[in-house]
Amino acid sequence: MEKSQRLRVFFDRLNEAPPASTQAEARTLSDSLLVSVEDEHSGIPNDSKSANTPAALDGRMYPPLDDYEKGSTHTYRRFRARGHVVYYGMNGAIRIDSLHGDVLVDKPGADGRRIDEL
Amino acid sequence: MNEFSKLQDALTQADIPFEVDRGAPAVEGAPEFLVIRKAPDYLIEVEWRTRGGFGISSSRRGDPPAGFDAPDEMYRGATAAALRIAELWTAEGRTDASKKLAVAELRLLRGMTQKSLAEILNVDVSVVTKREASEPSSMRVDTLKNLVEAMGGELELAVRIGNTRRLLQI
Repeated sequence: MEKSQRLRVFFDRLNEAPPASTQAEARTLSDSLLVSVEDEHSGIPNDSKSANTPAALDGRMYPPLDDYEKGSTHTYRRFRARGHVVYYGMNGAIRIDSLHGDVLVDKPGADGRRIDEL
Repeated sequence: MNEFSKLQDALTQADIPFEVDRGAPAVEGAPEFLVIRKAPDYLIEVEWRTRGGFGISSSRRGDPPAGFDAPDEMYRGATAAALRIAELWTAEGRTDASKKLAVAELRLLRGMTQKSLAEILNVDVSVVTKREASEPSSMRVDTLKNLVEAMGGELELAVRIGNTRRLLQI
């Protein structure tokens, strides 16, 4: 499956998953869904060396590294990725924006609030 | 003045508007980012790693999402990065992930410093510097193979005869 299709599957699964209730749960949920989508559809093995490289070149998508956290606040953690900005709210909310200004995922946390409501 | 500041100066001098991601990094030495937007739907994103180079990618709204990819192109210094950005900006050009890479550019893409590469190869940093500065065509195949493997890759040599492409045993 093409990377853009896999990304769409990832966004869909993220939207459909039960909401997380903490920032850590939100990040774990997001990371584990991305890994499962890539395991199922990329055909590229999960390589720990690539996963810990700022720029994996093996064609597989890996969750953002801690190094790419930038602009976090007391209500959310914010990560940069190519073309995207990812937010994990302290209430478990998740938002993924494209740099073109489109909101690709806007998932409320377990308390029903979205990132921009925190 | 660091290379990221130099790039910003160069863009300002070239009248290319840009937005720096001013969010505080969570860890020391984290990458810096800036975005250059050109109406209506074109943008160039730049990532600078303190001990690495500049990653540059362009996109248009409606393109297939990039999906947490590595940057398309890498440049070691602000001058080369600014020249490439100016070229892209003028033509609303596309960055090219299939562009042939110099050894140093591959290292930067892998997020490695000359020092970290030297440590894996168990050689002095000066050896890496010398190898990166040498013409690829003058490099021994086993030297290149070692360099690529130290970066987590696998060297392949291909030969094309007419329409046939075959890998060479190395």
